[in-house]
Amino acid sequence: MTPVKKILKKSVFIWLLLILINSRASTALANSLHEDLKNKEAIVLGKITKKQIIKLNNYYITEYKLKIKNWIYKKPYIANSKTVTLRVLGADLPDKGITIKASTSPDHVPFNTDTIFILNKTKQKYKDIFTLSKNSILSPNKEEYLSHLLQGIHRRNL
Amino acid sequence: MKTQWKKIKLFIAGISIIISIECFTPLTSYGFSRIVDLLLNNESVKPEDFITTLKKVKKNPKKNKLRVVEARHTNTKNLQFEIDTSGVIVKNENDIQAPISNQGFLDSIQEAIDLWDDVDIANVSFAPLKFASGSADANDGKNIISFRAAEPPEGVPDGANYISIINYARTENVLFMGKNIMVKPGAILDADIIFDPTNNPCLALQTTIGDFKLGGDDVAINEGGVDPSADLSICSSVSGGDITELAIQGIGSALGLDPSAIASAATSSVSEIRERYSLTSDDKIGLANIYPNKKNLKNRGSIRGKVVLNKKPVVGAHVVLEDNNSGEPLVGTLSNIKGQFSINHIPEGTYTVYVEPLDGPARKNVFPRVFYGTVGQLNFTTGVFNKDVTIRKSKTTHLSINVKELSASAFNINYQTVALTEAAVNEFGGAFLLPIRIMPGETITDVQFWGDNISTGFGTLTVSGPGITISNETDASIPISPFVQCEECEDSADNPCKRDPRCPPTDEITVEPDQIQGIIVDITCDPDVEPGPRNIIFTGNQIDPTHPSFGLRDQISGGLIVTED
Repeated sequence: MTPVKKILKKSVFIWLLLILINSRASTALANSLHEDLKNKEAIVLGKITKKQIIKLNNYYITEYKLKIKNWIYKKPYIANSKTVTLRVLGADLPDKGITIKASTSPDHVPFNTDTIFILNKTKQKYKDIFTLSKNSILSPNKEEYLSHLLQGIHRRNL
Repeated sequence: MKTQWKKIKLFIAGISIIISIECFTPLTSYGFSRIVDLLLNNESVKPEDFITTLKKVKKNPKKNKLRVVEARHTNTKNLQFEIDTSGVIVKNENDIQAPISNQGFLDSIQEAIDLWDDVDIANVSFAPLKFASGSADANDGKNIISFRAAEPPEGVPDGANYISIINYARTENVLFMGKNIMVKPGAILDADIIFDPTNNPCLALQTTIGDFKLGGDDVAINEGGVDPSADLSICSSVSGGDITELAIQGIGSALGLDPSAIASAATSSVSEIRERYSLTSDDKIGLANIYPNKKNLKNRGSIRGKVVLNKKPVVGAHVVLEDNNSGEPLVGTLSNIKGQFSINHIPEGTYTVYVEPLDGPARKNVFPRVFYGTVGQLNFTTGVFNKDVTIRKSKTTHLSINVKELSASAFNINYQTVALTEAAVNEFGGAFLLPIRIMPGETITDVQFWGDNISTGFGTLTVSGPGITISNETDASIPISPFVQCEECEDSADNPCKRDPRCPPTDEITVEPDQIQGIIVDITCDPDVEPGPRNIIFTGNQIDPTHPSFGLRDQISGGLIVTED
């Protein structure tokens, strides 16, 4: 196991541990996570393995297959699948030389890289299709996201 | 020789001015326009190759040229926007299904456009608004602003109050509307904005005439009706959807502007929307940096520089010029991957220049991407340049600003007027209703601030500029999660329920209210104070060696605005 993977595993463990903490001394953190997660469908560690552009009505949408390594958090009604579908408004269309960006979508979705994703409900509220908000990706690269994750935990622990 | 000596002085003093331009080769004037692409020797760099690309450039900078493609319109004369309300199921204007009349929507959007049209230092003008013949489509070359799209887009998170969808050219040769055309990379080909009250019911609440009727009379949610189970409790305290204010922000985005980290700016994604209907100097200078109108930019100068931490460049630092006379945060930008920053078209004057991490209300998650997938650094404390900076007509001032590593005594100040939810803390850093609005002659009492080491023992709160005073600063526990949460529970011998009078008799309490350390203050504005934005500053006064905070500073840039109404 590489050192980065070790750190990654450790940080995910910390996250999980923090979710499980229920002592009075940690009420702030527990509350924070509880509230933070209330509006999110799931938080997962995984990587995007496939992407395709689809056109629905007048809109270009990028559809991603997200292979899940670890369900860090999920709402009870979500199935424990190994892969989920993400639909995000906007697309890169290199054959046309254009890129379409939506203000609600992340600027960059890392491909084939272990990343923590916060999954949101789509407006259409599909059970098995999620979307990403602007802030749904904790980091596009490992070093950054580990630091972001740990800082996030620290801030939640204010 | 003189330059070399200045460099030595810089090294010794930590902060100094370098006059020699050759030290800096800015990658771009940065932090105003949206970044569309990054090119290495004219080839698009894949985001996953970003780090290796930087290494390649560092190894052989002469052979490998990196260039940023920035968003901009190629022709900003008489920009045409069109209004579409075909998705609105109209019956009458008192019906929730018609929360705003077609003309009312057009008037709101026109008001927003007029504000951008009036920026005389930028070379941007708009054609009169007209009603569209079609709906929003990022591939038709028409800039359409829809109120409830007939077929709302998929792939949008629940709750977004508006969506801008912008089509940019990545290359010079583009296939657009069925034709091959030649454009400048970064050109905005199409910009649409969709306001959708079915996605954010507060939007409907703010635009409905008369009482708000949940769900409307007879229209299903999937046909455009508002979700009857929607939680509207936040709409009473947060003005979540004023069309004009949202349109001001949306049109800024359609012009290619990136969000500002100054909370008072109309393009700020830090603040909650408030009915203000004005642009700040930050918005205007930002626009002028993209589309300069040279005729009206005669008495202005520029600033270039670098932000450094432990001899390494700081990425994503917010560099702000604070006017020494008024205390106004005039303009801000972000440092790029080389730690460089650049602002043009600054009015002549004397400024305090400071560099801050995007913490506090401008939380990192509001600015997740500072440069092509690289997030901004937060591991430093606010650094104030050690002397006043004078901007002179047609001159460029060069600065190098060294910042210190974050210590345990550093601050992270946040503000609130209403009891926070934890979701707000996590998503907005608690930036409810920023900026604080105060009128000349007014006193606001019991304003709450919280964050790392924010207490009377560690420092003092002030507001930049003359005439605004802080009094009655007291320590307090600030409620950040005031809500009791209860869940249904049945007692068993092994697991008795945790009953609580605050919960229904059938439930147990699962989450208690929560408090956080902070201060409560009164803010008084003298009657003769000039309107405009100000910074809220917390400065450390603790000289105890175990908790040194003396001189440390954190601020909410543009966190307060003096208004006349």
